[in-house]
Amino acid sequence: MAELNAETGAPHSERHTIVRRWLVAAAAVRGRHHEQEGTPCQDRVQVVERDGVLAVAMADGAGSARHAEIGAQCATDVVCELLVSAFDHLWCCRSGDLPHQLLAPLLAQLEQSAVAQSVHRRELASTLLFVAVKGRRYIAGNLGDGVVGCERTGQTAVLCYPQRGEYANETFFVTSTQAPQQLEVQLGTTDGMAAFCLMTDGAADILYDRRAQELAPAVQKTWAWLDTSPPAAVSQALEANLRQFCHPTTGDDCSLAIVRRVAMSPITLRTRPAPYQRAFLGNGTAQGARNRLRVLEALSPHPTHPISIAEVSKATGLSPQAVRRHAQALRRVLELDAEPLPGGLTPVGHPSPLSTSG
Amino acid sequence: MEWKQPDIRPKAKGKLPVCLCLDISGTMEGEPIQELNQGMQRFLAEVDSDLEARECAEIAIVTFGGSVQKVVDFAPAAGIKAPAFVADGLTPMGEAVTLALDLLAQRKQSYKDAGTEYFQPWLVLMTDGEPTDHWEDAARRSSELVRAGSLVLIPVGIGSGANLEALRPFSPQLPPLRMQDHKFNEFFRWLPKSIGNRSRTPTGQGAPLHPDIMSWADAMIR
Repeated sequence: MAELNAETGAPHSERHTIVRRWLVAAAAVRGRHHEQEGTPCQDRVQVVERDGVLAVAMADGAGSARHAEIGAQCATDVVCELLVSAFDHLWCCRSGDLPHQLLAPLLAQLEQSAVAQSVHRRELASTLLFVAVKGRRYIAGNLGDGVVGCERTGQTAVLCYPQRGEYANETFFVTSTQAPQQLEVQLGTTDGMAAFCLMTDGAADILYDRRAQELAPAVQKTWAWLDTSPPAAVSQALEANLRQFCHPTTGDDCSLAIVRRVAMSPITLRTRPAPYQRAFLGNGTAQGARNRLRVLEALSPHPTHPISIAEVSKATGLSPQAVRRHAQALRRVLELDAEPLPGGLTPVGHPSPLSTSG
Repeated sequence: MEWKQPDIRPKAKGKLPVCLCLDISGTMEGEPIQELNQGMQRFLAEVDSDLEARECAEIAIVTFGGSVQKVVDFAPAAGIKAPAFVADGLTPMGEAVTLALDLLAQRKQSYKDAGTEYFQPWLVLMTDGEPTDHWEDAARRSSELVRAGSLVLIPVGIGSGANLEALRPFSPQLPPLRMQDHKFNEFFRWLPKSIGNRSRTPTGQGAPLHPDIMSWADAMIR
């Protein structure tokens, strides 16, 4: 297992380094019903990446609620913020407390929005789905008729199944009195995890086999798009596919988010288009991404001994300050640390942060 | 980056059983029964042309006028040829509602057995008068189903002579609606839109009605 250089945060590896990064693509498409009525899409997807946490939340506004799109936006905003700011706290909560920890701040915010809109809270009803990853840990959850899936050790699986009533149009919402009992939260390690997906019931109408209770083959193929194409392009492709395939099947709004753990060497990353490199390296400018890739390359190819910032600076022609800044940023966005797991869990068989291969 | 048809799993359409329970008693004779017959043709055509309603609705028709008859068993609108109704006899509404509820329960069971998703059954109860038989048990049964969120009941009084109070015991949630005179066409245009409008609701709640309800109904009687 490679170790990190204390000064630069770079690994010591023997040969080609593989770096890992969670990337997200998502799309929400207005359903046929809402298009015909001229009403807005009531699905919302939110992605927040900050402080080493990537959080994705999705909400499907209830058709029977008058301001469902406002409620759905509120739900995704609040839950993403909570997952990013309180990931460690939530992770350490007893499982029975988790639904309350997540729902109480959300319901408080919904109440404020309801007062601002002069409506009852139930007019802001929506379902809720989320996935957050931090280092080697994930938190996933579902309330309502959406689906959360994953790919673990090469196999697709359903993490959270849809919750429905007897009738096809009945489900549970964050404002339902049964919400705390119905909110299913899953905690786990990302060991062996290659991807997550979240979908509202509209997308599940074509991507989830209700009889077999398994994900459609299209999901697994979709995850792989993020291995080669930038998230923005994949998001556009998701939207186009949802429009093409969901519209004929369902009148409902459709949302899909895919969260992919991409693993590649800096050499491979260099062959990717510039927008992909920018997304992978977490740098929005073309020049910044180029510089950061050079730092990554300098840190990773054959450092059998600790490499100093001065050496990287010399190799890249960048100032020591710039090298330090890029190295810190790489630590934030890439999976670098085999971080210890709270709660006495010991990492087992975890691939090294910038592990060697070949 | 495109999905292929074999890689997706389009779900089977959910079914919505609708039973029309229609008063064709003697007092409907003349213009009302003619309008009902015309409205029925329009209704079937409208359901068939409404994309959402056509995909899910299966319609049965029970009439009460002298006797109670199952005139049409559950079928998609396109496959139904409604007979011309003839007005005659008394108003055995209790017996008719009992038969309608039995038919809806059987249909629901057949969906369950086949693993087909389904929506809350609908019972549309239309009368221009009031029951002339024992209706209490039928009303109790329909009320329990409505309260449990297992039935959507649309109670409609036809014209000014209908006794809306007689419909109320069947429908604990939706107040009886009085169809304005000669508004059969409007009603049967509205109904498919409501059937197609199956917004998701919290568990245990009935289905929302299409807002165009005022096109045919007088103000609701609370």
